[in-house]
Amino acid sequence: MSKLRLAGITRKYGSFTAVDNIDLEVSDGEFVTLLGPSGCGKTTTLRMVAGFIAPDSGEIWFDNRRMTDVPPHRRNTAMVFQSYALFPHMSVAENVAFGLKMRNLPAAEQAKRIDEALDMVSLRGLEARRPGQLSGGQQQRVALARAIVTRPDILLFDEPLSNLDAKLREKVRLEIRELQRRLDITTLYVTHDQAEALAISDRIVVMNGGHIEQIGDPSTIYRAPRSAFVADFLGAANIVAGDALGGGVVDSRVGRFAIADASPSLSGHVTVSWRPEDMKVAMDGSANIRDAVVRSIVFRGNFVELLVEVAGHPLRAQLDSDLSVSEGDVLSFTVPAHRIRVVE
Amino acid sequence: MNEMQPGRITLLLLIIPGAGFIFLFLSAAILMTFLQSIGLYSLVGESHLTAEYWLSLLDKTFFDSFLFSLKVGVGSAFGTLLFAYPLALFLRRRRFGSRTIGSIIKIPLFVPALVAAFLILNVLAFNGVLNNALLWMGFIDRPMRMLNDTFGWNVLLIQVWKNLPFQLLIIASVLETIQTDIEDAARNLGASPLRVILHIVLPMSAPGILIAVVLVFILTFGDYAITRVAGPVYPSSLSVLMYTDAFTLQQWGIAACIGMVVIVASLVFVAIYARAARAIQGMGR
Repeated sequence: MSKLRLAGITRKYGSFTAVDNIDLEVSDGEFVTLLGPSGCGKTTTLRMVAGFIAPDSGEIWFDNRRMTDVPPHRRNTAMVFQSYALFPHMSVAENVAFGLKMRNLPAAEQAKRIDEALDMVSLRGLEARRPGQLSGGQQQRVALARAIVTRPDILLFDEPLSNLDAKLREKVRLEIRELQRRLDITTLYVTHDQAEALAISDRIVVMNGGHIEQIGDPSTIYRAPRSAFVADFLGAANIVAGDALGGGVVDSRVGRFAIADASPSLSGHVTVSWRPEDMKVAMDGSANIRDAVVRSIVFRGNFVELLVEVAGHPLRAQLDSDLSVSEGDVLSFTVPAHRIRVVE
Repeated sequence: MNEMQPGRITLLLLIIPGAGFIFLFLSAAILMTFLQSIGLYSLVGESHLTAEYWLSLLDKTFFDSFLFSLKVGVGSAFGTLLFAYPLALFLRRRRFGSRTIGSIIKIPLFVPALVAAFLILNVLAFNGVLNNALLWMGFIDRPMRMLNDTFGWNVLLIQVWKNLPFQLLIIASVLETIQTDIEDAARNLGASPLRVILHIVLPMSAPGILIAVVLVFILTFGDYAITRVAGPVYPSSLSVLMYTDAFTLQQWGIAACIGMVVIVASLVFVAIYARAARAIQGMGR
């Protein structure tokens, strides 16, 4: 394992800047996720760390080794691909052995490590199978075993779960996290799935248009998004424009809010954001939001999702499913001051 | 179920244009040739069962011709591969000029074998371009004899020239099926570019290589035109021998025997080809 450091990494394709001057540090054994929509530069960044793509400018460091110009086969990273990229002409054991063979390890050591790796991903007994004879989930495990068996300095994941069905995805997600903790490997993980990112990461790097929008641990990213983009990308968010009145109070189109973390000197036009689950139906006079008309109700099992309209502005709310509401009802809501964020 | 019943006959009638053609011009023609080779169907004289054609075929001339054809077939197939495979690897990456090279290289595909032979002839002839160039540059004192050599080097040369684009197309399309992710995975796991080719690209394209080799073998094993123009005076290829037996010596029975040998040898290689094609399909995903 190694510390990964990206310093001012930029990569252009013609006039399109895929990655724009990115700085990032991943500590020893840390699990960092690059999260963002397609085209945000997350995969390009990952492939630059692996060495498949050369940055136009900037530097890549593993600990104190400058890796910018080192070819991929001498970087000692290991990548799990979205397509798994297993070698179809080799058995499971041969696939896992490949990295060890390339490192010219003695046969006995190879055999020991292959057994260990296959044990970790519960694939013992399938050594002789070809990838074509395995299920998607099993192929995924082979890809994982093939990567960890080489004891890489940095483990790279490129949307490894997107070809699995929803249930398996959650299971493998936990397994990857557990394995990474046990082996203590520095990990860079790419996904566009915010739930995956929140569940698996030590820190999340939200990317957009080749830039980093925000870096933080999952709860900070979710609870304290710095921009409207981050707020919206991680789950649903209500984003409303307003005017700061001073003293941490914002007057918006949908109501007046006190904001806990706003500085008293905050003034001018601002944008505020809060999560649908932070909207509580107001029973007393403390409502921030009045006269919200229920436009649609979606039953989601443990909660209901409401789309309400306030002064022509749509808002999303989540309520207990045993609360009886119907379309056309007029409700009032309270949003706690510490749940509202001022975003860019 | 009842509605399906008359379908059988309709179906048989429907496949007549395809299957009937194959039966009439392939199966029937091969059968006639076989009957001819054992004297049961004679174009000249009486028909009677005899082994005389087969027995008189098995002399030194025939074996020399058979070995020559085999040599040209195997030599052309692997000789072409020697150039086609590295070229396909090179052209795979979209480098500067690779499109132009790729287009120019396909030209021999559209040149008929006889014309190809004449083109190369002009280069290699006693007073040809190559000899004159070498003379002019002072590398040699007198023209070298490069045509009609007993080994058949120039036949091989022309066959390689002619079949290179054919093999190139087959191998290029097989290489195309190898996903870049798979090569990236190999590099990522520590394989140098050379080892990626040895451990990943080469084995994954092996069935395609076999197909390319077998097809060129079949095309060149039965060659007439190029051997006739540029080949040695002796031995000749099986096809040339067959022509001589039939049209010059009026030995139609012996010619039929040679025809059978060519057909059977080709079928053996077609069987290999079919197995390779199956292997390629079985390897996907």
